[in-house]
Amino acid sequence: MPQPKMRFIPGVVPNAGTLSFSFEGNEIPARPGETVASALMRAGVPVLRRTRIENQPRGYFCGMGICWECAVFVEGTGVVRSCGEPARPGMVVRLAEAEV
Amino acid sequence: MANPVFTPTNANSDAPVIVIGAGPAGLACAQELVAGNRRVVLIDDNIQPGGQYFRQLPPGYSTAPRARLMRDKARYDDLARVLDSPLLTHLPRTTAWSFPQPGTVAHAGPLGSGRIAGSAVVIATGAQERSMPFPGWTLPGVISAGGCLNLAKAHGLVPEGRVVVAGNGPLVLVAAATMAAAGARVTTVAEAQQSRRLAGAALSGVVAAPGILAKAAQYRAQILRAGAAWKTGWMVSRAHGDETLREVSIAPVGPDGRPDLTRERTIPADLLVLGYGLMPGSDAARLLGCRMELRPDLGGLVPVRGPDLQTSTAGVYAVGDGAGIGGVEVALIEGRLAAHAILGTPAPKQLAHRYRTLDRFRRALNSAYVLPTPLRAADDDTIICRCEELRLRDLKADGNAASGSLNTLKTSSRLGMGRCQGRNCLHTAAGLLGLSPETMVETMPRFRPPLRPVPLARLAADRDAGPAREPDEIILSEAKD
Repeated sequence: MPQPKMRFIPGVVPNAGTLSFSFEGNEIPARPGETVASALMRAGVPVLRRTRIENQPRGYFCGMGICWECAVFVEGTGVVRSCGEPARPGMVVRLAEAEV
Repeated sequence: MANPVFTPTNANSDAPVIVIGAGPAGLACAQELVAGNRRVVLIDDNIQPGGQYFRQLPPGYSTAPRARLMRDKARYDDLARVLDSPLLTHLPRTTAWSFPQPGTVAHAGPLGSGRIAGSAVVIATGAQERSMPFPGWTLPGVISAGGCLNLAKAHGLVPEGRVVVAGNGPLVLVAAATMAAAGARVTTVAEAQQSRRLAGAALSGVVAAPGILAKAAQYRAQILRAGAAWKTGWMVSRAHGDETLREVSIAPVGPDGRPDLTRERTIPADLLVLGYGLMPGSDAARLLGCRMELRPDLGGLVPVRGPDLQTSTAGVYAVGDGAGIGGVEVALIEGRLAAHAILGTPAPKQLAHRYRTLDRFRRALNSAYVLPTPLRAADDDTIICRCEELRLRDLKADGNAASGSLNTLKTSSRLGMGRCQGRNCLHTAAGLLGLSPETMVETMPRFRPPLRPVPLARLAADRDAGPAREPDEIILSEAKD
């Protein structure tokens, strides 16, 4: 069953233009300045990392940089909190796994 | 180990005041200091200033007047003008990770790493959320109330599906109203406290904080207009789903604080928002050697402060939710009061009077939400430590579970050793293992530098980095009757 997506609140005007990055090999569109977590949630991707021991799905949780549940792995950068990481064109992102 | 002694030798020199945290308390403090012609270095973990309450959309985003974002833009814009002052240095995306010498703050971030010697340090690091683990709470789609507010405020997002909000405290109301205003389908709101226990605090607010009460009533109306069921005395018992959340079970709170499963109800949900309370983020104060006390009316473990909001460590002030849960109005006033104390100027009488009134109200409100018995929905299979994937069963089975010491349990079980550094799990684990709040505090593992995970490259960029001090030893004040 597809996960219901997030959408922009009516009246919120994001920056014009679109960029895209890849997540687990899928192309994800994003607005300039938008965070990786925001773009993924709008694309209906709720699972952002998998746990080291049990391979459990985890996603956006605290939204303020404390919990690290939204961690993703960015090629060339490493593990980042997707809720605070602006998307960059061509960024290669995958689920964070054993790295967290 | 000896308490670190902060000798404010630079108190009257040109050294800047170091404010940690650019939320309402930190910004108000900085504004008042700059108005008094003092230099300020404002260190903040986030990309943009504002903290949680004044959380901003990404740079460049705009909003149409019809946008239903419940945010306080005008007051933020007024505060944020301080960022343009030549007296202020703003270090965004920067972690204050250690206090290597008295009055010196070690910081690290993409803009650079290093140490700053200050004439005073103001801790304005805000609150963190309390966890209430239950089966299924780690599923994607289950988020915290702060995470929910940031969806709207920081990302401009609203979920398309059905939203359930559950918790204990004013954040339940705020999160549900924010979602409803933004156009989400909020189907159920469950507050664990009985409504009659909240009535007293509401009455005291009629005089002390009519503005805050009016806002609460407006939130409540917003939720009911959205057609949501409003339940008091109910809690989450379980969340269901495989890869993501599909259903939520709620149940009345039983006399033992556990959900009464005989009356459990299961409802479809795509997003579950948890707001089981806030507690002061005490880590920086602890690392600075401040004397601490357990204060239920202030939301938990807080630094002891004098009337000037100075902690027991000379030259270190603590303001806002990190020094006691009080919300934005208290934070703004405390920031200003601390600035006046640092500047050595008397605070305006009106401000001091308003603070006394609000301080009484927030303590009444915090106390009104305290439950007779702590909530407990975790079963043995429930994950308690999200980072290290430890279930309640694992903790109970640990050889050190009976030691009665969180620190001993940590070393053998890895409880609290993940990236959240115990912020999510230590408090709840203590409660679930039957430790009293006093024992929890006395046996809590020390915070060690770095206060937050910092990439090694950024630490390495600090050329002066020497051996880190480890001053955090919780020093409890004598209990007051």
